[in-house]
Amino acid sequence: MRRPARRARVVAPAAALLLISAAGCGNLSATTKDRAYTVGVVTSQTGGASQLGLGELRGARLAAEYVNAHGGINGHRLRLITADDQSNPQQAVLATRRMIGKVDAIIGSSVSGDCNAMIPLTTSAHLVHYCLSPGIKPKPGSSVWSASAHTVTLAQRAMEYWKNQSITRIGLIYSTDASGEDGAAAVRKAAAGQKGMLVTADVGYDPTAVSITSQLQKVASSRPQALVLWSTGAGAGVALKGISQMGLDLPVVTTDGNATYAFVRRIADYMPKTLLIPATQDFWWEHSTRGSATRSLEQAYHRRYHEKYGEEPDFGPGVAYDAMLLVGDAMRRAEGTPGGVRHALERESGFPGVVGTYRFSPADHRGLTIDDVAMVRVTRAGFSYVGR
Amino acid sequence: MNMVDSIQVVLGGLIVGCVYALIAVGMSLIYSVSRIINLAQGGFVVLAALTAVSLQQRLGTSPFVVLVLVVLIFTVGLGAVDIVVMRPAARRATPDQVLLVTVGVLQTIGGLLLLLWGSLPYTMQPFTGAKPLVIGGVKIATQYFWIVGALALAVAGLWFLLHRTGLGLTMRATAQNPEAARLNGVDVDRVRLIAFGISGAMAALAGATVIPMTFLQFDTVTPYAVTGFIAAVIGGLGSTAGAVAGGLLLGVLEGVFSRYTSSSLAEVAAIAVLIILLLLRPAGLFGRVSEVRR
Repeated sequence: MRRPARRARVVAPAAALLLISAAGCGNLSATTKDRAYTVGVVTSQTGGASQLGLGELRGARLAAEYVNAHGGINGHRLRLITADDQSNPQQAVLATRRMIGKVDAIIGSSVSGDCNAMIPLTTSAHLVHYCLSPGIKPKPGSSVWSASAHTVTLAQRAMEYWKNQSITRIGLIYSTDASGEDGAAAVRKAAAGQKGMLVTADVGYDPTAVSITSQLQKVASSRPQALVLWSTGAGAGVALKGISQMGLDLPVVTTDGNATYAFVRRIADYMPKTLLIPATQDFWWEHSTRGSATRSLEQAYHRRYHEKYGEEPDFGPGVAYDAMLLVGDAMRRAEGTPGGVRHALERESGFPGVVGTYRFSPADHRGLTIDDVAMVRVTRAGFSYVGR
Repeated sequence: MNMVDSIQVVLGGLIVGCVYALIAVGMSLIYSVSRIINLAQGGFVVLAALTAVSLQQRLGTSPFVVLVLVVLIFTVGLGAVDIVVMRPAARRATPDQVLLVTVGVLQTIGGLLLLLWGSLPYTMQPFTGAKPLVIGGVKIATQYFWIVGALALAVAGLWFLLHRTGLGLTMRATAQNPEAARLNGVDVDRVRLIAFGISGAMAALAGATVIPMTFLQFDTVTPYAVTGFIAAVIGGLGSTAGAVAGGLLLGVLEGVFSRYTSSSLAEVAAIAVLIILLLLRPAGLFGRVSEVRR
C-alpha cells in the first residue's frame, strides 16, 4: 500500500507541473518527444478576425491529416502546434516567441497587422513564415510568404471582366482602413490599365459609419455602370444596405475577404441583383482548366472538409490548406538541411494547390497569377462561377 | 450638385445626427444629475441594438414588441449598472477616476458583445418595409421616420418629465445642486437611479431604431461613444436641447463634408468646425459658462 502512495507523491506534482507548463504554453498541442516535423500555426480563433482564423485552422489541420495519412514527411509525422492570437498583434508576437525553437516553420496569422508583428521574430529565427493574409508584400529573398492572390491581381480580373461586359464607368467605394485603401489603390491601377475604363467616383468612408448616404449619393451622381465596394465586415454591410435603400440598381464587385458563407447569410436581404467577387480556384474549381489530377485534388479537399466540418469551405480554409501542403512538401525536399525549407519552397514551380497553382521564385513569394482568379457570383446559396 | 442631391445629403446627415443626439441626450441627463460623464452610453446603444436583433430572431415577434422589450430591459439594466458600478465608484473615486470607470464599462460591453455575438456584423429588417418613399426625387427610407420619432419621443418625454411632474422638479433640483437637494430631503441616489434608467431607455430607443438602417458589431462601441460625447460637449453638457443640436450638427457636417471631400478629411473638417465653435462658445451651444468653470 505504501508504493502507490509514494508514487502518487511523485507523480502528482509532476502532473501538476506538466499541467502548469501546458497552461503556460496556451494552446500548444504537441510534445517534442518523438522526431517529427513541427509547424506552428498562429490564427485568429477569437476576436475580430476569427471569421477567417477559425476556417484557416480547420484547413491547416485537414492538410496535416492528409500528409500524415499519406506517409508523413520522409517517414516522419507532421505535427502542428497551434495558437490563438485573439486577433491581436501582441498575442501573435507572444505565440510566435513561444513557438520559436520548437517548430520548423510558422504558418499565420490571419490578418496583415498580426503577420507584420510576427515577421521580425520569424526572420531573426530564420524560420519560413507563411502569412495567411494576402495583405503582406514579402521582400524578395526574405523568409516570408504571403497567401492567396495579390489585391492588384483581384482588381485586374474584376476590371477585365467588366471591360468584356462593355462596362467602362466604375464607381469606387472603399472603407478607409488598411485593407480598403489597399484595394482602392489596386482598383485605380487596374482601371488605368484598361483602355477606356473610367473611375467616375472615388469615395472612401469610415468602416464604422452609421450610414454612407452622402458618399453613395456622390457615386450615384457620377452615373457609373457598376460599383466596386472594397470593404469587409460591418463596413461592407453598411454600404450594401445603403445601396439597397437608395435603390441603386447596379452590379457590384466586392473583395474576396467577403467570400465567406457567414457574411453572405448576413447580407442576404440586401444583396444587389448582381454581386460579384474575384475569387481563387477553390471557388470555381469545377470550371477550371487545370486538368483531371487537380480536379481530383479539389474534389477530395471539398469532400473531406465537408465530411469533417459539415459545411463547404470558404475563403479561410483553402489558403491554410495550401500553405500547410506547400511547407510540408518543401520540408520533404529539404531533408533537414539548414535553410533548406526556404530554398525548397522558392523552387516550387507548378505546385497544384486548391487555391491555385503555385510558381514561387526568390522574387515571388506568393506564386499565384491572374490565371488563378475568376469572377464568382454571390447568391443566397453560395458562390457560382460567371467567367473571367 | 442639384437640389435633390443636396437634400439627400442633408437628410442622411440629419438621420445620423438623430442617433448621435439620442446618445448625447442620455449622456447629458446623467451628467446633469450626477456629474458623471458616462462614455459607456454609446456602448449601451450597440448592446441594445444586438439585443433587439437576437430578441427578434428568437421570438419572431414584431419589431414594435421588440422595441418595447429592449426599452424595458435597458431601463432596468442601466439602473442595475448604477447600483452595482457607478454609485460605489462615485462614492470612492474622484470624477476623473469615475470617467475611467465608464471607459472600463465601455470596454466590458465590447468584450461582452464579442463573447455573446461573435465578430460578425448584425442587422435587422426595417420596421415598416424596405422600400424607400420617393418625395420630389428624394429617397427617404421608412426607418428614417422611426429614428426621428425615437428622438422626438425621447426629447418630448424628458421635457414632460422634467417640467410637468413633481419627480422632474426633484430631478432639476438635484441637477442644480445635489447637496442642497439632499439637505432638503431628496433621495439623490434614487434620482440618479431614475436618470440612469431613463438613459438606458434612450440607449434602447437609439439602438433598436438604428440597427435596421446599418450593421453593427462588437468594435462599433467606441465610435458611438466618441461621437455621442462630442455631440454632448458641443451642445453643452447637461443641456437636452444642446445635445440634440450638437448631434444633428455633427451628423449634417459629417454628411456634407463627406459629399465634397474624402471621408478622412470629412471627419477632421467636422471636428475642426466644432473645435472652432467651442473656442467661440466654451460652454457649447446651449451650456452655461458656470458649468464650464465648475
